[in-house]
Amino acid sequence: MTTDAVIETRNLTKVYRDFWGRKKVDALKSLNLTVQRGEIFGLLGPNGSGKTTSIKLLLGLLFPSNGEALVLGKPASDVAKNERIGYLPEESYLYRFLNAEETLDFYGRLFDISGKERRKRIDSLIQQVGLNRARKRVLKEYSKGMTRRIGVAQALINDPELILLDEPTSGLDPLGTREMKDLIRSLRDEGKTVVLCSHLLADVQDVCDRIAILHQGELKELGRVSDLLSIQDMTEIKVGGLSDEAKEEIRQVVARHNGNLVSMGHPSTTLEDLFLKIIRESEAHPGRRYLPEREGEQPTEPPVSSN
Amino acid sequence: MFAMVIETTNPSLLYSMPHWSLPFWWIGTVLILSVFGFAGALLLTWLKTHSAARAFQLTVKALFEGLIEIVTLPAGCSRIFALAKLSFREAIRRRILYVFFLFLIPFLFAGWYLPNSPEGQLRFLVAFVNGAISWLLIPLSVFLVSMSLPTDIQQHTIYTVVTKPVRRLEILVGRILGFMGIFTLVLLIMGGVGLIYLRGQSDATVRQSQWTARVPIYATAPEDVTTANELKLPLMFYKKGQLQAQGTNVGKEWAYRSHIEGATSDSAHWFFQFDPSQFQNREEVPVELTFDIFKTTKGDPTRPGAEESGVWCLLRFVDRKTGETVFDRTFRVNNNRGNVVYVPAKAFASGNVEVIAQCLTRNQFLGMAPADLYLLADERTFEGNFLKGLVTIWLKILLLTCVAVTASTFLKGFVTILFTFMVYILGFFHDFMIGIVTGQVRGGGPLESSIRLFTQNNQVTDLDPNFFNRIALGVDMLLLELMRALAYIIPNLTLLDTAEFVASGFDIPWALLLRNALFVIGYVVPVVIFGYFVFKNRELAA
Ligand SMILES: Nc1ncnc2c1ncn2[C@@H]1O[C@H](COP(=O)(O)OP(=O)(O)O)[C@@H](O)[C@H]1O
Ligand SMILES: [Mg+2]
Repeated sequence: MTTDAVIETRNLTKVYRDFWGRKKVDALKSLNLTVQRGEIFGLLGPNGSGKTTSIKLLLGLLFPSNGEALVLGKPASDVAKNERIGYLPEESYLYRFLNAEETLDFYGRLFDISGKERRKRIDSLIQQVGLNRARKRVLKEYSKGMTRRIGVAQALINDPELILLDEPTSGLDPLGTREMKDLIRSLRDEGKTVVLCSHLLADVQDVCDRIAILHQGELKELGRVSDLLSIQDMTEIKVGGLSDEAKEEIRQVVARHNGNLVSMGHPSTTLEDLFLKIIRESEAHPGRRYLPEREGEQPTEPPVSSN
Repeated sequence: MFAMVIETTNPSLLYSMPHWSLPFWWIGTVLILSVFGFAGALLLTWLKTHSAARAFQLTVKALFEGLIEIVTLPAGCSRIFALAKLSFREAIRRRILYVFFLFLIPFLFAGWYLPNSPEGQLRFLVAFVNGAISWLLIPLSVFLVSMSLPTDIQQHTIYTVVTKPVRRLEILVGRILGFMGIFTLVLLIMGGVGLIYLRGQSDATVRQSQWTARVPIYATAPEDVTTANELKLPLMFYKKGQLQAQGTNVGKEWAYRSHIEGATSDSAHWFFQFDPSQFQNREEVPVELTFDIFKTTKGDPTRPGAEESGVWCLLRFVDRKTGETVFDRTFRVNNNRGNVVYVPAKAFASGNVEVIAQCLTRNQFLGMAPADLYLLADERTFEGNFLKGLVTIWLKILLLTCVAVTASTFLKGFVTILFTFMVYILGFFHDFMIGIVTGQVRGGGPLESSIRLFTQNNQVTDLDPNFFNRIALGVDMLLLELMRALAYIIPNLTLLDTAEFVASGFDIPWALLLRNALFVIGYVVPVVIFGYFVFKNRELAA
């Protein structure tokens, strides 16, 4: 694969077992994914589809039952990779007896950052996530949204190259969601790679460059958001500054081809439509990769790699 | 001045440095246990991967990665410090420490039970203060430490920590340091309060005589003298024209002291070897002794003068270089309080002295043990000695903290608490366990002794060889093997008790403190490393 792959998984599989080694859940089945440097990659799927499991496997919080994951070129179990990774867990699991500053100071000290640099980053991060007025309050007193914000700040304390965000917008108000999305985009603009997972389709649709859709631990769809959402047998044209003759000409062309011009271009469905379709399809044919109704253009198996 | 004694059959052992072979024993034991650990890990991995070759490869890899991490631990000191500070803060912020104020409550009532006799008084008070500290600090620290890591795992706060460049060993070590920081602080505060209390509660007479830390010089076995059956002992008895290990047995059930008969040629001989330069600038050296008086004829205690006449003893000091008697003194023996004989320092000029005691009173016996007579080389402050006693408690807490941290890498919090307390309690029965497995304690294994208890069978005859009993004996064999293994793994906590020194006004020997420290460090290092291997290979999110 290309050298610019930040994350690579091969047949990554996770089976949760109980104490006696009996199988409880097939949480992730043979996932093959590559995330490129500098993109925002979304893992999408309904609750319990294996998104969090995937992220935990990438971080070495879980050990794969099969297959492997490479993160920043190193095995997921290698601690050294964590120097360059930021992680926001599903819920911000932080020490509730610390205040915002102490929290960032604690996590900052776990990295090789000078004291001066650390204090600078703490200040700017607190500003950035808008917790300036609450910086001396202990996390116990924080609302869910505030906890989320300090969680994000914590994930960014080491100025990471790769950021893994598990449901970054959960618990945030619309304004907070907006800010979060802006933050994610600005991270990409700084050249960082962001992997986020969410069941909130709107988030993913707005910010992600590419998405993977998981359902019951299986990869159902993978591709660029723009491609996935375009309807191939429709064309949408939106033109400005055309003369009336030109428009007339186009209309005639369309009429000659028995078309019915609505507007020109590829209109998008919403991600929600696509999502529901995939889920329905998947439930009708379990274990099969989603087959879009596009004529002969998508490989079915194995879902390796990217565009 | 009341002389007091530490009851031990070989007092000079208290002052001996660790034997040179100790590190080798340690390394040997650790290696053997490591092999067991490796085999266990291999087996578990095998069961998981279903492939012996793969399991071997994985286990060896884990071992090497682990060893590298252990060796490079100091590189993570800033992270360790951050983690230690976190644990420290956690304990403070959670206000758990307020519980320690409970420690003050018993002090309000202790005065009710204060014994009247001066030597009993300080002993009681010291035991009390030490007890109050241990009994509060130890359970609470076990509780705090045991819950810490499991709570982190259960509440998932561990996720944000282990996804930073933190090594797992740093998490364990940081935690231990943080908690030990707290416990040290609390121990110092409690110790300070305890000391002030001790001062306030003890009588003036006690403070005069017992508020001290004696540095004794004990008798040591000489190279050139043996008993008739060739034993080298610090104290030998001259009886029937021979040197012997024991004097006369007067039929006291507790044979710790041996007796010499009055008005006979029987005598007791202590052998002292020491560096004489320490007495160079001294006029005299106090020799303190505590002998037991045993009367064969009860006499009439109401007869006038019976008390005054008493039991008399002759003490002779012989310079073993010249063979001359350099000093002698006849005195009346105090039964309980002991005696002090002030000997001119020049009597000890050679550093090689024999002290000979004879009982002069007919029909009376004097009982004595090696530690009953010593040269008082120095006296140090009670406070300093008290602090040394706290160090021992500190070491005990360190040991339990490390055990709890290790246990909490694979057990739930509550189970960790139980486990650690079990280690603690078994640690006090260590001698007993060793006694059972080596067959010194009569009555057999747990089931056999229960049967004996139940059937009122005595401890000496064999059990009926019926079916039931045979099974019981078989199970006992297994249990005994288990106990044998346990006896090697459970720390001997009876070693970590120095309160007796403080209470009886003897300086805790540095050698003893050093040996205790080595014992604890030698114990906790492998324990924590074991915990580290478990923790490193544990899935924290499962
Ligand atoms: N620790 C666990 N033990 C057992 N099953 C688990 C555990 N964590 C998650 N699961 C199961 O694995 C599946 C995937 O879970 P998860 O990855 O958390 O889903 P998502 O994040 O997509 O909502 C679910 O069926 C869930 O119940
Ligand atoms: Mg999830």
